[in-house]
Amino acid sequence: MGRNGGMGRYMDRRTPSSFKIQITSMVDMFVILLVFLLKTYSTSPVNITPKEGMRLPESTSLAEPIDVVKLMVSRDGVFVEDVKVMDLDKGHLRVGAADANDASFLRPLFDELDKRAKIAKDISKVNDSFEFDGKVLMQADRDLAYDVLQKVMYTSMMAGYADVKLAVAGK
Amino acid sequence: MRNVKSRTADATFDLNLAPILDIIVSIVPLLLMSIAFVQVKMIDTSVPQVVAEAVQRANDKSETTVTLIVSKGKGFTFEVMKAGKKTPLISVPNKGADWDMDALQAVAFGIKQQSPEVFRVDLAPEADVNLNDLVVVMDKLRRSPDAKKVAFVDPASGSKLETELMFPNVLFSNVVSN
Repeated sequence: MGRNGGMGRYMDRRTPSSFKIQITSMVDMFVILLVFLLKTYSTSPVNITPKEGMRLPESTSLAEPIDVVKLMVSRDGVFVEDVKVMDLDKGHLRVGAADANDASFLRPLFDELDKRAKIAKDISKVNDSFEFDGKVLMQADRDLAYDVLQKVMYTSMMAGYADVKLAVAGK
Repeated sequence: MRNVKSRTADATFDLNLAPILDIIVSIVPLLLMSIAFVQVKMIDTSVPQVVAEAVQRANDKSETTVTLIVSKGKGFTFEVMKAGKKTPLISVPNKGADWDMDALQAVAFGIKQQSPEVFRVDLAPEADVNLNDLVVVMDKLRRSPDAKKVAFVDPASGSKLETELMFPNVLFSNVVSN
């Protein structure tokens, strides 16, 4: 069947296939999305991403977090700036994790923090604009017992990081 | 008259939304990448600088320390030391199985009214208290109930300042002793 057949005649007769897409509703949707995204846009210079599965406690505090050494205590481990230094067993310290002579002292955590403190102190010696202030921002899971946190804070204090700030989720 | 008719017909037009859509489509991925669904904050003081400095000075001059023992089973116990002397302990027992948070705030406010220059509370939680409960306690102690204001004297200037802050500075007093 050639072009002059029924199909061909239909193709010749039909109106040209130019049409306009209605984008008004799409623009409406995007504007709403844009407003929502602008509202949730974070202007804080400190980027804090809680670990997967970690739930921070909720607080009414309005203080913005500061850019200091980040210490993370989740239910499965203790991290210093994303470096895992210790394992936790469902939020509890494993047997023998603490030092034999000092039940609150966590040696692997101390070693990592001490290393960072030494580097920071060395930098502050040659750079006047930098000062080691011993501040640490602790992100800890909301269900962790004070027993674990006390040991982490004690070890951090021993390493020179005595000013512990608690990261919380805004209400 | 024909002229008016033709003007009316010409005045309808379609607004070209394509460039606006182009801009929005470019911005949306950028914003989606930097979106923060969880607003992380930090527990610290959040007061105007002048008041913050006065708070620090008043606290440094103070000879009163307020310690709060936090226990899951027994509730709260306030230990206030004035000039090295212990005052009677103030207990806030549990209401049923839970903590009585309103009573805690009311007792804390009473202590604050007696010692308005104190802005620090020494927390001594028991080992089994979890972090979330501690943060709830800190939130209750940070500001006075119904935003009532308490006056204190700035030691540097001698001027009277009013604030709704009770105990914004928290120190874990049993970190070492445990």
